[in-house]
Amino acid sequence: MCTGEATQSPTHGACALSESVLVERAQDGDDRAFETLVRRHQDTVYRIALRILREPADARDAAQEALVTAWRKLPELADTESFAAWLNRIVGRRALNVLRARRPETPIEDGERIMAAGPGPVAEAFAGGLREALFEALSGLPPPQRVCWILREMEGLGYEEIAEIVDATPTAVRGRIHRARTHLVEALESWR
Amino acid sequence: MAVDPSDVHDRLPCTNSVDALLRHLVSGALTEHESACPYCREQAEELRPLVTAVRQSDEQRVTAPTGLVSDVMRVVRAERRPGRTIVLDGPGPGGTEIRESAVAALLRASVDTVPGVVVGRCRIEQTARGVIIRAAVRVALDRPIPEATAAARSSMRALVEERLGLPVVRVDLDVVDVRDNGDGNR
Repeated sequence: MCTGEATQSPTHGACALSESVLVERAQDGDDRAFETLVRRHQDTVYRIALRILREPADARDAAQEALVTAWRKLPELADTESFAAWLNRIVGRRALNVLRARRPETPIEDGERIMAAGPGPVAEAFAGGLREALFEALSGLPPPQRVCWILREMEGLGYEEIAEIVDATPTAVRGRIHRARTHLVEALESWR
Repeated sequence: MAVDPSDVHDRLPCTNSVDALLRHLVSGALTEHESACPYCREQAEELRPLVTAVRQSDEQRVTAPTGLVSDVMRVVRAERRPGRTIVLDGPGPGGTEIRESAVAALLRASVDTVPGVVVGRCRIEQTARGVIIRAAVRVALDRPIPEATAAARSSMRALVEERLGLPVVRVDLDVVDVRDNGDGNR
């Protein structure tokens, strides 16, 4: 999408602009600059929400709310270079809140997963199975543990950053990640 | 770094942290110690299904659903931020005001024709004597800064005088960065 736009008139060549220029412009109320930022980051924002929430519809809502929140709070962001990390924190927090508000279990999911496995090459079914088994095991974790683990091991965020998202100390975050990992290793024991 | 007691249970007898080991296993970049240490290797064996599962999730490319951008932008455009307005001169009855953000957009566009200069933050203040512009600019590494900022200043001044019909008191430019080809802009 960016390559096409860059050849248009200079005012629309926002795609080639650096992140901090776009953030400054969006802070000033330039919605086109913000749109470019949304296009750049929407996949990551959605992926974080989807990994935490698993339900595409919930993930879409969380991603949309996070991006709108980002627009509203953007003038408060002091370090324009850290926009991406700041955005990840917003969506992480949003997804955690949705997760906390949910009922403990959503039983329909199980039926869906069994059907979704479907036919296919054995290796692929095996691979999908292991990935599914991981997410299955993750859904068995308390929301803060699940979020801490996903943000650390799948999204590569630091302890301090996660601590801010889940509103805990970095020490508590480390403890949760440790407990989550112990649970996951046990849950995947049969795949060894 | 001080030894954190909460950290102890996450450490192998060789003092390597399990979290670090897991991350290295997923990325495939084991340290020399991890490849040789029996404790690490034993732990790695235990982590194997988890590592495979995480890698497989990484390989699965997730794309945002179509329509997300337009839905977000519809909300964004419906709730524009409150901002200052600039009052234009002209014969009445009735008056004309223009939003500061619209003037800022025009000013940035006016500098697009100046090679090697990119405008980020841009504020416009209207005083009794005319308009004061303050902008943050990035200048290309290979451009003499006084020359580049003078060109940007004259473009901005011309825009306000010609398009808005307002006098310009001054244009304050803050060069916040000097980088390769301005901003990768052209």
